[in-house]
Amino acid sequence: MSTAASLIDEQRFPQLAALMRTQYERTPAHRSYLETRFSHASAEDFATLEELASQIRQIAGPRLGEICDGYDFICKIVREEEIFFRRKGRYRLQTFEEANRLVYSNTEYMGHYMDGLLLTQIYWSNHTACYQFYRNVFLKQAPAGYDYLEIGPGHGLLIYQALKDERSGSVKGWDVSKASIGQTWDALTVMGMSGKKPELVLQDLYAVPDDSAKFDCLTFSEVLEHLEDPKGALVKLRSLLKPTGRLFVNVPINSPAPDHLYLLRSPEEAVEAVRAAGFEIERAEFFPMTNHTMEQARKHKLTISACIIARPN
Amino acid sequence: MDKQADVIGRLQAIFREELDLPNLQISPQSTPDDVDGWDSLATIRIVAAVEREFDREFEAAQIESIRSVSDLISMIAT
Repeated sequence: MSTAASLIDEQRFPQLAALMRTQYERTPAHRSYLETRFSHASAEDFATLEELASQIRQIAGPRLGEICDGYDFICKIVREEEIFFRRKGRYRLQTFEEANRLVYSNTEYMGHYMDGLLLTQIYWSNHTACYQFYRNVFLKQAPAGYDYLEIGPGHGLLIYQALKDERSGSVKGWDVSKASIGQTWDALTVMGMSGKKPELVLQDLYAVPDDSAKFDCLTFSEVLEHLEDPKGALVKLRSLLKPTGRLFVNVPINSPAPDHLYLLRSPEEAVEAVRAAGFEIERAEFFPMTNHTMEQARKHKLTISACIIARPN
Repeated sequence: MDKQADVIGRLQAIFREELDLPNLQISPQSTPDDVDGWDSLATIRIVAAVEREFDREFEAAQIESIRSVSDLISMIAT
């Protein structure tokens, strides 16, 4: 284990430096990987990482150490799925019922999993890049007063961006899990709601009536891979958009995890799935797994995050 | 060629391919600290390739305990 000084400039990025001190104290084995990850970060990346670190430390409060342990937990369970994926060439679970029985219904397991996922926004460069793409491209080009809906807002970091955007109008979040809605609400409460009142409700996307309200911005980030019927979900999403509305999809390719069901084997397959559901692609960008090039990711079937902005055609 | 040299040769080919390091030289003493790109997920890819190469399947606990090329050689030998 290296004990050299961290690459993070404590004066310029105090929130990130404090977070990493806690992470390295709790799990020194991750230090080398994470320092390599930061060695590839640009000045713009560091500014984003500092902002994310500030938000995550607010959300974590006194649980920061526990959340850092959650990162170790998520790495362990991803490794277990990775070996299955390498041997069999597919994800372990096939149905939502299996995922619910083995993963979602296990409160303690899910707690550690969600904690770990929160930190991956900083630690996994593809996750940070998706966040930047969402904020700098998708939200930035939304019309003034936009009506926003996020399906599965989870940790709350994306919906928070819409909430604090002075150009946003209504801000809504839907989830099928009451616990998840509670988590999003708590995160927004500690980060601040900018005088707005988000509407977070229990709602199953598949059960939405066709005459439901329509939105300018629809965010569907890291949800598609959890679904048994991803095509049905994309078609439903199309029906929720205004004619000029835009959809943001973030879906990982070749990304084994305990609750991932829908295996996409290339970013192009993801783009085609969105197109086939009745969308015109406005822009698509792909981000390879941390500490790897896109060429390596494609060659070795490593995780690639596919971010797609699309409009109803 | 003795058996260990044969195993190291085959492991070296796997490491070179999985880590995209065509000139990599490994020894039993090689560890993730001195091989670029050898992180825990790379270990999984290497193990999967080793399993195919040597027609073996290892236990999760064995895979988690790999800290060096020597550990891999021992796993193959047992």
